[in-house]
Amino acid sequence: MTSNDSSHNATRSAKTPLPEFACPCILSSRLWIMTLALWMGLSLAIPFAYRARVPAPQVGARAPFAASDDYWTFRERAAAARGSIAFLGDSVIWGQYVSDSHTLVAALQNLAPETPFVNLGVNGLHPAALRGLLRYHGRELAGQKVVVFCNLLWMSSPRHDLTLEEPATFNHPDLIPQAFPRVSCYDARPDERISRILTRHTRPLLWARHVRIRYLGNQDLFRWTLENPFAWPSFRVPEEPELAPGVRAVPWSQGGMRPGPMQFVAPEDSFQWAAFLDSLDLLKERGCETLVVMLPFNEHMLTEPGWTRYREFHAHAMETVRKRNLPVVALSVLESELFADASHPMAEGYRRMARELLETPEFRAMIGTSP
Amino acid sequence: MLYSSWTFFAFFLMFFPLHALLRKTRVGMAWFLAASYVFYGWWNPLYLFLLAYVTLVDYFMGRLMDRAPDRNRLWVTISVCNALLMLGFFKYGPFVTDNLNLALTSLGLPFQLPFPNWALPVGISFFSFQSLTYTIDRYRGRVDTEKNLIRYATFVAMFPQLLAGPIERAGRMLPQLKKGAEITREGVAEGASLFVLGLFKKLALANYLALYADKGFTAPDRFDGGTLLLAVFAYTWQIYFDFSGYSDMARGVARVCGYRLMLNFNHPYLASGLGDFWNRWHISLSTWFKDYLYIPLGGNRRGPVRMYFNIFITMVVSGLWHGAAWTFLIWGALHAAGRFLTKGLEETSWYQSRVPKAVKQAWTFGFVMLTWTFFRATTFADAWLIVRRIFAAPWSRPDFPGVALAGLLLLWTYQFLYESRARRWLEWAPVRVAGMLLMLLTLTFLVTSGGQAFIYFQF
Repeated sequence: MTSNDSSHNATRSAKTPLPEFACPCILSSRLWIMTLALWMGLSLAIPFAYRARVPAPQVGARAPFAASDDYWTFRERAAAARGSIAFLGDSVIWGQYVSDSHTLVAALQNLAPETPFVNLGVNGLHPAALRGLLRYHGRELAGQKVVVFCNLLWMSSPRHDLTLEEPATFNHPDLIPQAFPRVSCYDARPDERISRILTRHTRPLLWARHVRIRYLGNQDLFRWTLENPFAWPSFRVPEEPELAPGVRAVPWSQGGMRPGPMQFVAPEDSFQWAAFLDSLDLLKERGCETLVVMLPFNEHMLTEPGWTRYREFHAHAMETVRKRNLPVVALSVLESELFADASHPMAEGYRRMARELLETPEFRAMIGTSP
Repeated sequence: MLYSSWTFFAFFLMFFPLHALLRKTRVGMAWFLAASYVFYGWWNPLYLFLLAYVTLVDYFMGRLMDRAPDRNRLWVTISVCNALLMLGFFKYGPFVTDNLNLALTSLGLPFQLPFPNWALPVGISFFSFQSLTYTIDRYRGRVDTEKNLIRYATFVAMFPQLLAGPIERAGRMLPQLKKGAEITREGVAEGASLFVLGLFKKLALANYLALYADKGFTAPDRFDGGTLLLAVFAYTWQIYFDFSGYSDMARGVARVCGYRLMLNFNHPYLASGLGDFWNRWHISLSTWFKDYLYIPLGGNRRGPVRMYFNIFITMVVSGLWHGAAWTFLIWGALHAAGRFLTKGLEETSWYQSRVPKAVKQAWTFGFVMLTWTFFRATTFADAWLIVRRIFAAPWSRPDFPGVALAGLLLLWTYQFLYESRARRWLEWAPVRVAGMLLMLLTLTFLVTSGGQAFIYFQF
């Protein structure tokens, strides 16, 4: 195989000894200290410089759909929302079946233009994710007025409640506990869990994730270049569609859905409900003035025994929140044709909800107006 | 667990402090062994029985060479046969069965052998070969008998290089293990440098190129020659970065732990001939085959015909070592054919002094690149289709990322410079720091996951 066949030496001949290294990037300890210092400095400086150069997000509009799990953007929007009343919830608040100008927050703003409201709704934000969002990315909300919405859809089955014993996919796995308490249907490898923990606590990694989501279609630069082989990333923000992708804004009964039983879990066993209560505690710790609003569920879709269990859960939730000395409002159930599915209203539904909310003494106290 | 994973990082953080503290003691060796078994067992705890079995057989064969030296030939034969049988069973069983069944079908016979359905134990080709270096070199009188079972077991199982090499020699590693780990500040710095370099090669380069290469090789009938040529080009670099990256990480971890492993890749794509290529590519394996197969067959000492026969056998076996498939055999045979055609030529003064180095490097690279087609393709038919389309018109503009092409050319240039007089500029401290910083920043901001297995784990 080589020309030095006569040698029985296991390594190369003395004429051409094997080098120890094939690359000069071997640093001494002193150079390593310098490199690590530069690396840490640049890793912190780059996101900082980005933040200084890129304009603060406009909070008059809701977050882009693609930014649903962009927690860097959430932090920036929460910071930009200082002085406004923040509305926190899932896609019902974000406005899944409506355009930005027809959400609940938009409807409220039309009715009360003198008070600034900010739509901090996040798609798919179940209560366990809400807790994580507040814990890891919600410090900017400290001392602010926050209206937090409770959607009992997340307790309507063991799957939604994250108490299924077999593995299941769900939204915002980055925000849920990675080790304790154990989430029974969360089946990630140790590596993924460690990576998620590091990303949520490390600003440079969170920023890198933000850049991927915002400018590269939620893929890494390598995959992006594969899809755009002859282009350089322009770092232009793509245009936001009017509606979330793939939705049809029609009443639920016309969309092929039917009434059915829903297996609401018991409140004392509910993982999501416990997480929601933890979220309220977090808001209190951060000095937030909090108003809890129970969203109307599409009771027209419920059959027995789901309907009874839902009402029991609803009553329990109201009582539990009151016992924590927090103001709570329960919005009335809307007419059937004003729902697009089990919990999302249509545009008119949001307008009705806005009018009802504005008339409640609890909400008026929050915005500082008399009835 | 993969080196490029947080799990390994956590494992190493738990292992290293005690290792550093106990390294010069007996307990230290046992700790290293235990950690290595945990590392290997992480893939599948049942594999540990296999590892222990290989270790015990070769350890006792070594001891028997002391006790009954007149039967040394028997002991080494048992060791070699044991390794070959084990490889044959786990690695080649499915291949042999499949082909026997095909033969039975083609003969019209109504019998079929049951298809073995077990997973190939990770690293079996590596640790079995590594253990064999002990028994064979002991037989040849080149190493002393290792009486300490813990030390011997650590030699076979040491986790930095257990899964994919470099395949170390007993004569190199056992003295290091006996002396105890030499952990120094500069050693840790060197090790960290190698590790980051390997991590960069794997995560930023190999995984990236895999995206393009996989596209072409998965469905070659959907692409024209230009795209397939670039897929082969991408794979050529992918396998280099993947494997050399792993080797760098293995060497880096070993260096941090106080041990030195051999260089396994020495800019193989700068080779100026096939002989030179095999002096630079997977050096630990090519020297293993040279010392334990080619030379025992006679090497070049029995005339040219026998020499070429020996080269053929060695290359084909080397191909089969990589995998139990006809494509690997063909790959090895192609390299043998390449050696047949060029060995004499490469030894002429005309070739050595008159042919420009760039030309030599270009044809060597081109040959190696084309033969990788057979290595990577799932079937011979796919490989042949790819080669045919590369040489046949028409071509259209392939969608190969400009960034990737620019990056590869830059790296190639870097390698050229490293083997030229400009090397001193590359060794200048600011350049080295800038290079390492660039790798760290890429790993921090651009790489999203490290979960893809290394190519050589399948061997």
